[in-house]
Parts: sequence; C-alpha cells; structure tokens
Amino acid sequence: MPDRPEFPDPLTGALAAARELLDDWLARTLDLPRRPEALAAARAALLGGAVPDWPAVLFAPPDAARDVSDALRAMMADPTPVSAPGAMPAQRIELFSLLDPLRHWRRGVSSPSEKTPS
Amino acid sequence: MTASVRPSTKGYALRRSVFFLLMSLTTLIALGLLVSVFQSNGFSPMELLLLLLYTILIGWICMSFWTALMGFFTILFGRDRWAISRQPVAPPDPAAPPPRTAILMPIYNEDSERVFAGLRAIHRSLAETGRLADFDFFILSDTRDPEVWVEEELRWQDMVRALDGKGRIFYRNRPENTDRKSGNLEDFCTRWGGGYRYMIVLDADSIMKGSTLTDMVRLMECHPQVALIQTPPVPVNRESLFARILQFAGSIYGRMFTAGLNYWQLGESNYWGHNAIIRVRPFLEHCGLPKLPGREPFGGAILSHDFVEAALLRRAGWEVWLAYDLEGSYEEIPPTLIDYAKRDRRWCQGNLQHLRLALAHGFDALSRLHFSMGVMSYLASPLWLLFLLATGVEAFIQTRQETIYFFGENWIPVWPVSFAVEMTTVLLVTLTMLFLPKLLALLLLLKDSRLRHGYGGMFAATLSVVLETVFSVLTAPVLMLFQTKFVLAILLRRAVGWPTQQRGDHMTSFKEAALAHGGHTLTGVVVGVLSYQYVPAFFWWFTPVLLGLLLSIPVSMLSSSIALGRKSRELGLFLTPEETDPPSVLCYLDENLREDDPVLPVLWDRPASRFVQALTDPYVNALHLSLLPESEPPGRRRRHYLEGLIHQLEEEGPDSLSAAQKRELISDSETLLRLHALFWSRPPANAGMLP
Repeated sequence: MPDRPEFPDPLTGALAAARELLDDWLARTLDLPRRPEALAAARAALLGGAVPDWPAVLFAPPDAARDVSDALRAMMADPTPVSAPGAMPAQRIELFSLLDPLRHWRRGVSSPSEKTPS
Repeated sequence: MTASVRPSTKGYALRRSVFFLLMSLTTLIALGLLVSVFQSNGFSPMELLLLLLYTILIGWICMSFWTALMGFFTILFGRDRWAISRQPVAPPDPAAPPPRTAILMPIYNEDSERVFAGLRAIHRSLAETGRLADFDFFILSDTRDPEVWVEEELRWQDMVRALDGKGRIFYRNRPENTDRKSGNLEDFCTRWGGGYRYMIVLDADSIMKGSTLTDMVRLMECHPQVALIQTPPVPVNRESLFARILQFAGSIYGRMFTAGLNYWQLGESNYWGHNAIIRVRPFLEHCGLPKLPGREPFGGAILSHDFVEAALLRRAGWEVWLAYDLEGSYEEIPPTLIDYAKRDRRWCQGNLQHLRLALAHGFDALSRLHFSMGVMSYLASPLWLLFLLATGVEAFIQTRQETIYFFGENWIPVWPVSFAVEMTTVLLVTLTMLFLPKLLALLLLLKDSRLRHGYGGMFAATLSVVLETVFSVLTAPVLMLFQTKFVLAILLRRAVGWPTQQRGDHMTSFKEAALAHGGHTLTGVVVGVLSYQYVPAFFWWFTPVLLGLLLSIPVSMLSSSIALGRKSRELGLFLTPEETDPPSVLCYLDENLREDDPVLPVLWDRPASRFVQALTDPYVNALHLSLLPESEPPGRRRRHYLEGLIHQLEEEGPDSLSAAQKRELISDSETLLRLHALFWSRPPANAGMLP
C-alpha cells in the first residue's frame, strides 16, 4: 500500500479519513483484501445503488451489515475474467535479401570441408 | 443441387490454373495490341516504360476482372460446392460441451455511445439464438483520450447492469498501447486466450447477426483443420451521399468479388482484420508477430497484421477460408471522401510494409500473392499517374515528329500507318475489364427478385450503377493523387501516424475541402492548360481525369452532404437490401442509438468533462479506480512529476493539461484518491468543476 499522502487542509483530511472509514467497513463486510482497486470496486457498488439506504446500514449492528454483502458483491465490477494465460511466441520471419544467393553459394562451397572429419 | 465435396489438391490446382491462365492470356492479348503499335519504328525508352507500366496495370485489372467473372458464374449457377459452408462434415458430438467463444471488440478513442450501442445490438441478436451463454464479450480498449476512457468505463458498466452481464461482458484499458491493434489482441490472447476455443474479432463499427456468430462457430467445429474463417462485411448505416454510393457499390459488386475470391483461393484465403472467427490455439502458437528489422516505415512493428497472421497460419498448415455466402456481417465506412483518404493513409504504410514480406522465406505462393495484392492496392495509384504522365510525354514527342512521305528517290509516297484501330482496341479492352463487372452485377439481379427488390428494382439499380460509375470516374483521379502522396511520403521515410478516423456522418466544410483538394484542383488546371497548349489531341482523352481534379472541391463537399444522401434514398437511388429491408440487428443498433436510455444515473447527463467527473464524482471516481490495473507505487521521480501536474491542475485548471497529462493523473490510484479528496474541499482554478 502506498504511503498515505499528506493533506494539509483539515477538510481534505476529513474527507480522506471518511473514505478510509467507509473502506474499512467495506473490507470487513465483504472480507476484501485492502487493495485500492478492490475497495474502490466495493465503494462503486455501494455508491452505484446496490444498497439503497446504505448510510443507515453503515451504522447498523454488524449482523445487519452482513445482509447487504450479497447485494454488494453482485454489483461489484468484474472487469476481467480469471486469468487463462497462453504463450504467444514471436514467429521467425526470414526476410529476403539480395545477398541470399551469395550466402547460399558460400554455404554450398564450405559444406564439404565442414563434413570432413578432423 | 450439386453434391458437396471437399476440394482435393487437384481441385485447388484446376481452379487456379483456369483463373491464372485466363488472367495471363488476357494480359498478353492486351499487351500484344500495344506492342504492335509501338514496334513499328522500334521501341523508344519511353515506349518501353509505357509497356512495362501497362503490363503491371493491365495484369492488376485482369486479376480483378476474372475474379469478378468467376464470382458472377458462381452466383449465377448457384452456390460454390467447395465453399466452406457447403462441405460435408461429421457433425460435432452433441454430448460434448459447447465451445467457449470470446467476442472481441478492440477500440481506440472511438465514439463510446456507438461502440456500446453496436455491442448491445449484437448481444440482443445473439440472445435470440439461445446460445448467449457460450459467448463472452471483451471490450479491449487501447483508448488514450482520458475523456473517452472514462466514458467507455461508464458505458461498459451500464451495459453490464442493463444486460445482467457480470462475468460475461468484460472491459480493460491497456496502460500502454504497444503494437497497436495486434498488440491489443495479443494481450487478450496471452492473458485470457487459454479460456476460449475461438475468438471472433470485430472492429469498432462492426455489427454481426447472432445467427451468423453461431454459424461461424458451427463451421469451425465441423472443420478442425480450419484456423480462420473470414466473413465478407457489407457496408451499412451511413447517410452521406458519398458513403451511400460506396455502400451501394460494396453491396452490389462486393458479393460477386468475394464469391470470385473464394473460387480461386479456397482454403488459402486471407484475413481482413475483423468480422472473422479464429481458432485460438493455432493463433497463439503461430501468430506471435516479430518486429521487422530496420527503421520505420518498413521496419519495426508489423502494422497491417491481418495478412501476416493469415500467412503464418497457412505456413503452419492450417486452412483459412472466406465464407462468402455467410450473411449478417456488417461494417460502417468513412462518411466523406476526405475521411476515406485518411483511412487509406493509415492502411497504406502497413500494406507497403508487405513488400518485404512478399519475398520472405517460407510462405506459400498464395500468401505472397496476398501480400503483393495488398501492396498493389496502393502502388497502383503512383503507377497509373506515371503511366498517364508518360503517355502525355510520348504524345508530345509524337506531335513534334515530322511525317516523311517520300524516302530517298522514291516518288511514291509512303503513307504513315495508322494504329487507331489497335489503340482503340487497347482502350476498349481496358474499359471493358473495368466496367463489365458492373454490368454483370446488374445481370445477377435479373435472376433474383428478392435481391432486385432490395436494390430498389431494376430501373433504380441500373440508374444507380450509371451514377456510381460517373462518381467513381470523378473521384478516381483524386484518390490516385492522395494515394500517390501517401506512398511517396512513406518511401521518403516519413512515417505515417495513425490518426483516429472520424466515423460518424458529418459535412465537409469549404475550408476542409479547399485544404485537402486545393492541390488537386491546381494540378488539374496546370495539366489541363499544358496539355491543351502542347498536346491538344491528348487533352480530350485526358478530360475525365482533368474533370475529376477540377471538380474535386465541390464533389468532395457535395458528396459529404447528408441531405443529398437522404434525398437520393427518397428517390430510390443507391439502395441496398440492408436499407430496403433492414435485418433485425441493424434495427436494434438504430433503436439503441435513438433511445439511449442508460441505467446509470451518471450517464443521464453529459457533463463538460468526464475527466473532471472522474475526479469529483464519488461513484465515477470509485469505478474508474476499481478498473485500474494493479501497479507498483510510483517512484520518487514520478511522484514529483505527478505532484507538478496536480499543482498545475489546481492553479490553472484542467484545460491547461494535455490529454496525455490528464491520462497520467487518472492512471495512478493514489493520485486519483488524493485529487478526489482535494477537489471536494478546494475546487481548482476554474470554477464549475464540482458537480
């Protein structure tokens, strides 16, 4: 997790702290890792209307909060599927060169000596 | 009905022998006529140059002509028995689980509303087949513009919510658009390709019927030796006069050409980059593109990757087919002549790069031909220009030569031999090969009443063909000069960028037309005056070319007119079956665009800036942050850089930042969170940023 940026302004600090509290609650309710992307996905689901009266739920007892976790999970953005990697090696394309016939000829000339046992 | 069989090696050889024999014979005959004219006094260097140019150009025309003719007979006598859709196959095991297919839409700064309206239309059409569960949708964004990027994310989330698409409709934006579209697809293949047997690659303006998608999968399942099936995309949906004329031409002549291409290419066909299905495993194994040695424009990343991928698949022994008879595949074309040229500019560099690949080791003969055809589609323009110039110079030289009637002591005059018949024949042969396919396309309408009705009836179709021919004659010299300029720029190693194409209908202003065609008009005036002055006989032959150049500004402006496009439609001109009786998937697209009714409240209004919305709106901010790829925290130097941008944004407002700088700010999760908190407590310099 990156260092928390410094907020000189009290209002800015208060907003950041409120967001962190909300993220805390989301992480506990949904059992999420504390990565910004995962927390943001949960926050987006919450703000996007997954739980209509969410401020009330936020301050409700923990049991009540558990009821909303399914609704939140269902609405959390799932941008990409589970990774199913495949290797895609770069293919070899041998381009034509005007020197090719010469190289070919040289290879032809040198090949008998290469075959000669030492 | 003809019995269906798989084409044998002999079958391939027979068809190609017939095709290339006819092509070579016609080229030789046309060439022979010209040689007979030139050889009377021996060949001058200019005549030799003319002969060389004519050989290349007439060969190119002959190839196109015989392809059209083969297509004409294929359609006339019913379907091709060797077409991929007609070959007998063992049906796939019904007990086996259906294959997973990914529908990929690579996008780059496109109009998000149109992109998602199209995807929703495809989704709905696919749902009607009952096979939706076998497909996943991927929006593979390479978008750099931060405004479009945020809009895409919102549109994607809206689509997911509206269609209950969680876990089926995916979106990702690449941090770097390395290797452009091919890199975009490679990124998909290497990250998620293992989860799918097939991928169907679309373009941002592609539309495909659900039944066509399922047919493509069925064909792939039935033909395990096939790695790629290309469908012929029919141009649709445009309203400007220019685009409607092109749509008409693409529709009425296109089906004949694609049938003809399939006739001689069979399982060694080509890939056009979109509206095609690909077997993922061989694509992974054989289509990793190398960097070409040397500098741009010929070296570096392979730009027009599609031809190369098809060639690599064939090199590995896989078949590539063009399913010319598979309907329900559509695309949109540039709305104006200038946009069309802009698209050409993007494609030209990629196609010229194929010049190096045509001679590379290991590819089969047909792959080399595909590469050469790609090169010729742009090189033909400078060659035509050179041919016209050489003809003018030759005509000028002829006019300067004095005719001698009496040689030596001979008192009987030797009349100069006239080659008017031969020259007229050469011209007629060339014109026939250029224009006969248009007539043949009309003849095919006589056979099919449904199709005839689709093109507005025989009279309207004939009139449309005549007008389209006039239009193509007028625009051909303009495109010739445009393409010549692109080719020269590339040969002079001035790399051509890949500007975003303006896809939506819009009018060309006088200023835009004058800037784009001022040089063409001037060229027309200068060449016209010179030829009239010095080679008056040549001037009259040259008038169609001169007229195209002189009228380029008004033609470009008028043809971009949407009002004229609509008027022509009212008059029943340039109608296509897709306009007369639109398929359901196109109706869905139209419906989606007209009744844009998003689920997400943030999409109900269009704010001045989605970038600012991503900083200020808590929902947009959270959604955007959740879609950012995991990355290492920025280093100290980068932090300082971002810090500078934050201060600039605070003090001078968002307009002071470039698109790239804005992108950097919203690409870093820490910065994004910080800006969100910052701007809720202290709005930046220019007011009105907070919602």
